[in-house]
Amino acid sequence: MVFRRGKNADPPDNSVQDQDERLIFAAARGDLDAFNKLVTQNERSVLNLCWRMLGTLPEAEDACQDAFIKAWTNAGSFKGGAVRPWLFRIATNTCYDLLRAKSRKPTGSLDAIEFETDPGWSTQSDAVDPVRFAETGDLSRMLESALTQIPDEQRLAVTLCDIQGLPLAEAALVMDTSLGTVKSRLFRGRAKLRDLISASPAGRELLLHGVRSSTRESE
Amino acid sequence: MTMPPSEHQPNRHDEHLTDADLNELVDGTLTSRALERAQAHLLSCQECDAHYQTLQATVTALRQAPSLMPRRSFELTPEQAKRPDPVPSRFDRFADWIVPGIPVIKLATIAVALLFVSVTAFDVLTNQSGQNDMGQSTSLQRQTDLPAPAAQNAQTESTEAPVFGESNASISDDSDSEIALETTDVTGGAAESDAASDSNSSSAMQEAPAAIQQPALAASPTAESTSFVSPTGTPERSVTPSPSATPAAESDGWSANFALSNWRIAELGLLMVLIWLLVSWVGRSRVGQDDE
Repeated sequence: MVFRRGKNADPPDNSVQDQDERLIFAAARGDLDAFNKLVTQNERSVLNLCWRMLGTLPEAEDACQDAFIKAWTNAGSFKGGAVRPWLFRIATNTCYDLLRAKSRKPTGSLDAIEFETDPGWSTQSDAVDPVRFAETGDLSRMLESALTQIPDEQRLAVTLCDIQGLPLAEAALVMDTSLGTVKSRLFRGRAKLRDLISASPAGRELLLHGVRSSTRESE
Repeated sequence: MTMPPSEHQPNRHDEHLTDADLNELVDGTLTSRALERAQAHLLSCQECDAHYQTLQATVTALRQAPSLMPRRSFELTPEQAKRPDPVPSRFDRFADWIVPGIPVIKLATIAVALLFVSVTAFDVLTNQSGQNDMGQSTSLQRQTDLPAPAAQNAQTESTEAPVFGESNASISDDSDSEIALETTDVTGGAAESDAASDSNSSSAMQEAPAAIQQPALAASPTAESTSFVSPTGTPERSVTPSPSATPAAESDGWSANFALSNWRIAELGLLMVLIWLLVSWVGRSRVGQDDE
């Protein structure tokens, strides 16, 4: 499994938002090609959201596909505005339904996430420090493992705001709650992740090393 | 992630920073004054500084977390894009449930209607013959209910043309008997004749009330059974005239029963007609939809 590093999501500008709106309105009129164009633009972020919520890739793919089918079926209910929160809301509800059906939290095992190269996947094109990449990979593993151990609502808040880069207002729309509640869940989720990773000396070292490295780079 | 500037003011520099303070500091959403206070506290408090550093590193790692590249496309195929049929309304669900049974319901309605007609006809016929039988039984009942001969004679006498003098006394009740006595006194006459007339009038008076009571009782259909003392002295119970004892009373009671039972059947028949109309309407509307 190869990961692309870097910012996970660029904040959408108005032109992209307008284009997405036109696509979804066309889909509501039955234009499947317009909807599939929207799918291609958003499938990566929706898949990652499902993966963070469910913890395993096969389940995430199923949830992602179900979410897009539901979005197509309910395209007529879209009233305008940002399309991405609307898609994320559908994906979140789909993941919650699956979690409720299974009545279990995602596994916290590191084995659930494998770093392996798949020829069918796009490889990383950025030139990076291998040592740094290895450390980041270790920290990412710890982070992914810690993410599965915090409550669903806090995990969703952290995924939407920090990983996906959504503004607080859009995250509140996805979670169907107030701004204050989103902030509260986000802060508590971050604190729990920090405590889980810092519980081990290696984790604490990785965290501090990462800070020191970023400080050196900024200088 | 962009956050709006926070109005939250951190504690004074000698007090530890809360998680909210630290998060606001990491996000860069504190006001300038609050930022100065927080930074001043961090310089003096190693514990808070450690918490801040680890929190900042965690958030940085989250923001730089790798993302999956999809292994396949999630575009919808035409089969997946087939939208499901809209949820049928309650009316549609009712129609779907009842339409297959329409022929049976129609047959049942016809059967009930025929039953209604036959029951009504049977009821009419039986009541007509019953009325004839009731008339015969009433006359028989009257004969069997005649009182004792003494009373009967008094009765017949009372029904015959009354004698004037005695008739006054016969018609009158106890209070009027005094007037008859006075009448006889006024008319005068010999003591013997007076005594005779008195005795006659008294006997007549005794018999008359009895005679008057009996026809009165017989005439009233609602009269309760009363006991009266016949001239013979034995209490007898008068016959309670039933509603069918007289032609007028009989017809009223019979018609009441007739009307009540038919009314119920008529209600059932009307209900069936309504069901017929409803089913026919549903069936026609569904057929119309299918044709479209």
